[in-house]
Amino acid sequence: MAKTEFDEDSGFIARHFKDGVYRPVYSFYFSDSFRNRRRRVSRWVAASVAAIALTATAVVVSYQLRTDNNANEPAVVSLPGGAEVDRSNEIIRLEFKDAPLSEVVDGVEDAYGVTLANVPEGDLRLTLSYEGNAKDFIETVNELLGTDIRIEK
Amino acid sequence: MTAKEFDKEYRRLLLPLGMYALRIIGSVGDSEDVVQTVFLKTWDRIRAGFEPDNLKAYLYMAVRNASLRHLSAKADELTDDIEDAAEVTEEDVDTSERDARLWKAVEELPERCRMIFLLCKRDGLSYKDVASELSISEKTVENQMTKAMKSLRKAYGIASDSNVQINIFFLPFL
Repeated sequence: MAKTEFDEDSGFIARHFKDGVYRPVYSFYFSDSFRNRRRRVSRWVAASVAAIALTATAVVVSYQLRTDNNANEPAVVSLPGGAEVDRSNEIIRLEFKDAPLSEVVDGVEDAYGVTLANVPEGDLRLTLSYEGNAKDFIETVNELLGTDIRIEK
Repeated sequence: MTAKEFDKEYRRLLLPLGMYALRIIGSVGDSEDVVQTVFLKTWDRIRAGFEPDNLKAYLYMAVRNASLRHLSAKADELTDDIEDAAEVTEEDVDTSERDARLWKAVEELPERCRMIFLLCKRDGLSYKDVASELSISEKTVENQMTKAMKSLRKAYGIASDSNVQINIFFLPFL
């Protein structure tokens, strides 16, 4: 029996099918929303930068050592966005430059699709490059800033 | 074009463009790399001031060119097929979108159904062999394949086989 176009096309897809590919690994939206913010330098940032950078590097290195080999690279995202899906367990890279804590919170909520609670007021700012899941990220921020931010969902 | 708009197009066109590149390159991993890179570079250009009239058309062209460059980098010499591919045709776009629907349909199959479908269609096993491999009945394999093919036909855009209902109306003579 002659093959139909559907048979050919479905056969093509079946031969090449692989789960978990052709998925978005970047977020172009969020990388821009932080770029144009005005920056105010504070003494707190100057004092925190070295400590944050060193600790974040240590966390990323230890996390990567613990992570099993995955065929796909972790999502390499610069300030991810899009809060429709719960991605709290996904590995996402976040970068903040002299960002107020409120903006960091917005960024994390959008990136991981979570809601954060118990965010303190005040002039706390972060410069941080981090790669990991939501829970680890919040734990790191809490350790660095002495806060008690929680993931509500 | 704003970052949000571009991001939305990225999520919408990633799979169809991936299918388009896959048809050219023939490798899932390589085609995915090519398409992701095209999006990154396109965004860099847009941020630098580039304003494409038709982003979708631009991306298809960019993916075609990147895929062909990828092939020529791997091949010892360009083939006639590569040389003759001058433009992205509407048929290319339609095919890629249809492939994307099929791909998504396979992704969305229940795990067992997908496994049976791939054993039959990808690996060419008979229903009997699949049944033996999975320790299930041949009838189960047949049912799962019917289910899978129905989903794929629906995604493809063709009606599945169904009983034709004939209504006969007895009209009174006027």
